[in-house]
Amino acid sequence: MRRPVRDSLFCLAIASTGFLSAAPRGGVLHVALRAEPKTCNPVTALDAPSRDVIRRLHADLITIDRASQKTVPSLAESWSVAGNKYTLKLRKNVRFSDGAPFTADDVLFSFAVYSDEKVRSPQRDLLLIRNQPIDVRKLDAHTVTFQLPGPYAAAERIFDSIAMLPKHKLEAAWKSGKLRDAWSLNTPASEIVGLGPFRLKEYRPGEAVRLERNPYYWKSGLPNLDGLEFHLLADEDLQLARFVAGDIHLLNRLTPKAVAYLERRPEAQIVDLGPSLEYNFLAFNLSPNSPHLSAFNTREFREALSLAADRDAIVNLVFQKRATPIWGHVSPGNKLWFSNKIPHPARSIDAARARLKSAGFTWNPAGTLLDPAGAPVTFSILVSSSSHERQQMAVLLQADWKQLGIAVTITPLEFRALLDRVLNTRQFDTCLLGLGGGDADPNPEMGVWQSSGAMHLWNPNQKSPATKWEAELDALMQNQMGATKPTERFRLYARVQEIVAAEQPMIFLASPNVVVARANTVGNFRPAVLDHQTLWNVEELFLSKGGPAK
Amino acid sequence: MTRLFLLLIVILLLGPLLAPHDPLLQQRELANLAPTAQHWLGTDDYGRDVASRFLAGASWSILVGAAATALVLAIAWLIGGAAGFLGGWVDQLAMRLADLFLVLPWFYLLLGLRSLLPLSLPPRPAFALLLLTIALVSWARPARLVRGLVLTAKEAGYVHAARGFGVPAPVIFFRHVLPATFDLLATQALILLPRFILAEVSLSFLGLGLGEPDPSWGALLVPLKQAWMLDQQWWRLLPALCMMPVFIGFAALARQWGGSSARSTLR
Repeated sequence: MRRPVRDSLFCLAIASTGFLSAAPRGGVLHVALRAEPKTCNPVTALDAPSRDVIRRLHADLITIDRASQKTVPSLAESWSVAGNKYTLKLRKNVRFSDGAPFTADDVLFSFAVYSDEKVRSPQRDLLLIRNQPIDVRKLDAHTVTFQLPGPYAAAERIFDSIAMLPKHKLEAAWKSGKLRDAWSLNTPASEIVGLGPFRLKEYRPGEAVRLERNPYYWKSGLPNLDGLEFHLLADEDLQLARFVAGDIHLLNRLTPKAVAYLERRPEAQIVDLGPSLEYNFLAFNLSPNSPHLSAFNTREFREALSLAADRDAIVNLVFQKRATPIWGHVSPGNKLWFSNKIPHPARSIDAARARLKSAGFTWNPAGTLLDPAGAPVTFSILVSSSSHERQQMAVLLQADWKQLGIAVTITPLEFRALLDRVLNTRQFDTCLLGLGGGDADPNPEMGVWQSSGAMHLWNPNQKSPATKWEAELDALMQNQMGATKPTERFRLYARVQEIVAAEQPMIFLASPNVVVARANTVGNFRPAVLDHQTLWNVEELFLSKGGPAK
Repeated sequence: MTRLFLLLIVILLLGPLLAPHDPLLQQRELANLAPTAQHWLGTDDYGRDVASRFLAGASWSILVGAAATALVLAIAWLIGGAAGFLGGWVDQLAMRLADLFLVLPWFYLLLGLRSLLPLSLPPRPAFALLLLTIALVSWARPARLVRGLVLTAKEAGYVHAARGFGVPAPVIFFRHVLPATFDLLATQALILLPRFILAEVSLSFLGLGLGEPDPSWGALLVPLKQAWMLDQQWWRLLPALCMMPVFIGFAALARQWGGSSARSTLR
């Protein structure tokens, strides 16, 4: 799973990308999805598969160019800043995929929906600055102003995550309070309209999601492809077999073993982009209904588990050395925001046991860890059944923590069922997941670190912070969002990293490299470290009909 | 040949005692080793000795398979025997029930059951429960075979003679009719036992079986799902090759037993 990641339509005009290969039109690009999408609704989508599909259907006002990591115009052809007020000029003659015109009314509608507390959109956290909403006003049919309630660093990056919605299609659902139910996978394809390069053609449950070229797409002459098909292949082995058979054109994130296998194949090109922004972690369930709250709520317990975790083994055995061990949530791959003040305590079972002892934990004669109330400490790790790497990490942690006298059960679950337990029902002890990849900037992770956030995985949607350190996190995240000086922002966000690393509501484990592969027939292939690594410029991709593409 | 095979089963049942290493011990610096004198079948992703895990997993697989087989045959024996011997509405009811169980999609039933079990249930009890569930829905076919044999046996001359001498019906049933099914039950046991062992292997292979870190045969085969595995680590096939004699042996024994029992019936 990844954090609420940003929509990623690339908006450089084709004229400015003269280095791109001459692109033949036509063909259907086939790619893999690791799990079935849960929804086609960009307002409510939390899971990566849904977002991978949705991002090809919609567009945003300003987008982050995944190659340069800088903001570039998208549906807004230009913008100006005066104090805290942003004025965006929209492109003219832009149409939704059903032919309806896109105007400032759609922009106002979209921001009203995302900011609506009842809708509970994960993007809402981004749009609140010191808990105040952004004031959005229409100047004319193609000009919109955004008055921020206070200073907001890198404000134009906010727009990258917000897909523009068609007012004519969704207003009725919003007004009747049913927007969360809108655009499910059962909705007829013709009802789902957007401004992206593709539109939904058909959804075959358990099999594939087929998109077709959006005939009204606003980038002249694009997309090059007639269609894009997402095949639902839960297992990487299946994806690899289909890739080698020529059924799949791109593989987005390769495991190290898959890399070793594909390196010998002449028909595939492999690109290692180095350290990613992704961080893999084990999150505790610290919600009030958690069955293991007394142990999990003890900081020394969490510290002990972190001390006993063998991160080097994870890097060496799981990622075949194509990863970096981490103790905080910002990976070394994020050179702008990585704080080198986060301590890297060496793995020590003795130190872990001492930490447990200091918190009142004891051991019975059989070596089983007992909590201060005398109950044996056991818990389960939820892990995606489609992620071989995370299952391997869980097996290593299970053995590490057995040395502390803790019996850990590993429970592989289908990814959607896992997300449902973690985000909705909260029926889990711990979960092993990964986040990151959307943007290097801290703001998209407001929902992860703020106590009110839907992605505050250890205890989400809090009315008020449950602990002092979470209150401090809330304040720091709000302050960094408003700080205009880069050095001040860095200082504040470094403090966030320090608090999270010290309190350890999540035990950070490793950050893998980004390795992708393409079939040699895919042209204009320009993978990026940011999510989505291979499809961010999907409208420019093409399929070569005679021999390898450049 | 039969003795050799039975010796193999005994060795496998004693597997945990014969394992050269601790099957759970992760020697991480020795991960993914090819076979050596120290590690006959190599090591896995975590540096665990595969031969030890094969031996430790064998006893679990065989014991659970045997338990499930015993349960199936006990149910089949009673229901099939009663249906054949009593006839009438008991027969009708039992056979309609058997029809129902024959069409149950046991795999989906199993998936549903697994999702109902709590996450915190330890893997061994959870898995044993699942396998026993398979057993409970697998009694129908052997029960029909038992019924057929009982229908024949109850018309045999010695049964009529016993009736003529006034022997009570329960005594006739248990002393004269059911023993006629022993050969059939033995053959069925030899067919069902490897089937249930294979069920364990299949479930573990699909991630529904015994969870980590406990060794099981199915879990040893999981790496073979990976397309690149045999390309890079050929020795991962060895556990599968080691399992083959067990299944071939059961099949040969069932054929031998079935043949001899058919011949004895013909005489």
